[in-house]
This record gives sequence, structure tokens and C-alpha cells, in this order.
Amino acid sequence: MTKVYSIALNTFRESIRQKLLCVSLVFGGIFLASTYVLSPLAVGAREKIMTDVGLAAISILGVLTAVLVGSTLVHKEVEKRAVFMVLTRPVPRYQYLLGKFAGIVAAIVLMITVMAGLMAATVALGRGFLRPAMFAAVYLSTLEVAVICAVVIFFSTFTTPILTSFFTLCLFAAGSLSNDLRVFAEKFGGSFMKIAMEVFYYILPNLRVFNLRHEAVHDLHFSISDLFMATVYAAAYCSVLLFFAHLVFRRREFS
Amino acid sequence: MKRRTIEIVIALLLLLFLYYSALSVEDLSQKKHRLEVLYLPSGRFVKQIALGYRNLAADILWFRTVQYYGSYRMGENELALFNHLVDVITDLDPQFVFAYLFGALIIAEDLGYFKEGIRFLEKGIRNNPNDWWLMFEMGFLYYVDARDYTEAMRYFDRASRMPGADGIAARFAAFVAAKGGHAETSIAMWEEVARTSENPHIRDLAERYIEKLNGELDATDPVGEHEPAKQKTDLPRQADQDSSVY
Repeated sequence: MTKVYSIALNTFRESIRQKLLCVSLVFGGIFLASTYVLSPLAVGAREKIMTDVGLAAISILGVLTAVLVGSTLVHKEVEKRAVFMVLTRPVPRYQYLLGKFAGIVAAIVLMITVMAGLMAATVALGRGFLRPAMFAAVYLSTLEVAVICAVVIFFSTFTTPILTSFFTLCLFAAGSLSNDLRVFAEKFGGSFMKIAMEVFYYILPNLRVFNLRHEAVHDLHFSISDLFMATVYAAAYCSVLLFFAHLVFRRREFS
Repeated sequence: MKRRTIEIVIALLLLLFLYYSALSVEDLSQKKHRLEVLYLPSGRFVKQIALGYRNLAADILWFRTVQYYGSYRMGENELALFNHLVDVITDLDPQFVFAYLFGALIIAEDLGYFKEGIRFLEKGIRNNPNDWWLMFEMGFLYYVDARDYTEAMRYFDRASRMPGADGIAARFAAFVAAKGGHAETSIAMWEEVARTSENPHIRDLAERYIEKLNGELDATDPVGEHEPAKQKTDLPRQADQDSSVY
């Protein structure tokens, strides 16, 4: 556990030193400030737009940062031979991957927390109401980003950063549309199509469960049990992906 | 130093060139902007491509709609695509109540399509059955555009009974009932306003209306055969039966 913690801490430091994380944070700040500046143009929808844009910015920038920062992490260490420094010591490879995952998730959680604070300040400045659902939506966005980090770690164990980014973004799009594809297959597809879509539906990450933005904006009902189930799902999905990443990484030979 | 000056001059010239070229493509840009609105796909399609960020997509379209309406007010374009825009916005975010309120008013008032405005509000009420503003605006459109005081009274009355409803709905209901010739119903509604309002001015206003309406009833029916104002009329029940769609 100490080894995982050390690798995670190192990855966390490395991640927050990257300019990309700061750029994302600045972008997020600009996004949120723009909602405050542009809110008079919203004609009656000021609070809704500030919350909408704030929550969407947290989710979009969180996912993009996870993809861009995460895709280079493992690859860079292999390229620079820095991975030998760790793997030549008595550190199992799965612990190395776990540490990398925990470190990058921690860095992005920090970014999301700062952005959530900025969003809350923007909403409060705009005389809006801070509702518990908003924080629940931010929490679910964090879980979504954790799943994306696991996807990034999985791909980065066997492919290049560019392909890792590409595959992860494809999976993100497919994960957001998986339910629609399934409904489409049920309505118009043949039996093979239906089975294939059913399989895809369960294999792809169901990112819909991490989306509470609509409920947060309109103050609609949400249940704590849904949050709990989403947490369990995120934990299960990350565990499976990290396990497969370990299977690939274990067989990998470094020269 | 000389080289530096040349570089600054070149940079300024390039910026000037960029400014004039941006001005020259302005017409093209505006044309593209209009085409983007014209070829805006259906709400269902936009919902798919928005990938879970459909509220954000609705907000971006809302800004476009406000601009589109602003350009119409400045005489720069027609409002022909307004219905489609607000329809897509409310498909993307069915709980965007202000879009229904604003959209229905523009469709009925500026475009003159009263029935389409009502249909759009019905969509809003289907998606937000507990929002009293939508019901209130329904009554408002019937009152202002169709001059159908009976329908207007029914919707105002329904709005006044919804959770969180402002007292204005009950006052409108009572006022429109009198205008529609339902004096007794109006008296009952004003009595309700006088009984429930915490504002002394409104209570005073309600009492004056009751007095005035009673005077009118006495004048038209001097033998006093008209029924005394009932505590509650049967109109709201009728409205509930008629609008099972909500």
C-alpha cells in the first residue's frame, strides 16, 4: 500500500506540474466567468445558464484533461526509461498501475474541486441558489472522470499517446450514446444486431448514470441510492479496466 | 533597432489587412449564420449529437434564439424559423420553462399564430405539470389574443390553485370572469382573493370589485333572483375534466 501511495503521490505531483492542467483550469475559469458576463443576454434564464455551463465545463474539461494528461503518463515513463527505476525494485506491476491511476485521479479531483468552487462563487454572485443536486452532479462528474482515467490507463499500457487519446474519446462518445444505439437496434435491427448492441451496451461504460446535470439545473428529485449505485458501478468498471490493464502490462517487455 | 521597427510596421500592416479581410467576409458570415438556423436539425438529432450535454446545447441555441429575435426587432430578418428554434430548445431541455413562456408569447403575438402558441404551451405543461406560470400564460393568451374570457378564466383559476402560485393568478381569474359575463363566479373569486390575500391593498381592491359586481347584478336583476355568490364555482372541475392531457 505504501508503494502505491508513493507512486500515486509522485504521479499527482507530476500531473499538477504539467502546464495542461493549469491551462484547463484557466479555461474553466474563463468559461465560468463568461457565463456571469453573458448572463444579461440570457433573458430570464440567467441562473439556469450559469449552472448549466458550469457543470458542463467541469465535466468536459475534466474528461479532456484526463485524456490528455493520462495518455502520456505511462508512455513517457517507458520512453524515458523512468519505468525501470520503479519496476526494477520490488514493486509489482499492478501496484505501479494502481499508483498511476490514483495519482492522476487525485490531480483531476483537485482541478474539479477548484472549478466547483468557482462555479459556486459564480452562481452565488449571480444571486442564484446553490442546491445539493449541484454538488451531487459534480460528484458524479468526478466518478465519470475516474472511469475515463481507467480507460486511459488501460489503453496507455499497449499503445501510443495519440491512439490512447483517440480510443478514449471514441469510447467516451460511444459510452454517452450506448443506450440510444441499443434502442435503435431494438427498433430497427435484426436479431444479430440486437445481440451485438446488447453486448456493446454492457461492455461500454454507461456514462449516462454519471449525468445529474439536468436534475441539478432544474432542482429535480434525485435519490441518494442512485449516487450510491453510480459509485459502485464506477468502482466496478475501474477495477475491471485496471485488471485488464494489468494483464496487458504484466506481459509487456521493456527493452 | 531598424529591423525591430520594420517588424512592428509589418505586424501592424498585417493586423490592418486582417481587419479589412474580416470586414469583407462579414456578409458571408451573416449568410452562413442564417443558414445555420435554417438547417438546424430536429431536437431528437441534436440530443444525440450533444452526447449528454443537451442542456448546454439548449443554452447555446437559446442565445441564438435571443439574437434571432433581437435581429427581427431591428428589422434584419423574419421570424419564420423561430418556432423551430424554440421547439428544438425545449426538446433538448424539456424543463426550460422560460423558453416555453417566451416562445409561446412570440409565436402568438409577433407571428400571430395563436393556436401554435397554445400548442407550444401545452407541450410545456405536459413536461412541467406543476408549473403555474405556464398555466397562467395559457390563460393570458386566451385573454389577450383570443378574447376568450371563459377559457382564460379557467386557466387563470387552475394556475391560482397550483403550488407556489402568485396571488396575481387568482386576481386575473376573478377579473376575467367578470369580463366574460360570469359575474357570480367573479364575485366568488374576488371573495377568495379578499379572504386569502395578506396584502391590505389587494383585499381592499377585491372588496371594491365585489361591491361593484354586486351593484351590477342588482341593476340587471332588480328583483334579486340571482343566486348569491357561491363559495366555489364548478368551473375548475370542468377545466380539470377538459384538460386530461395535462
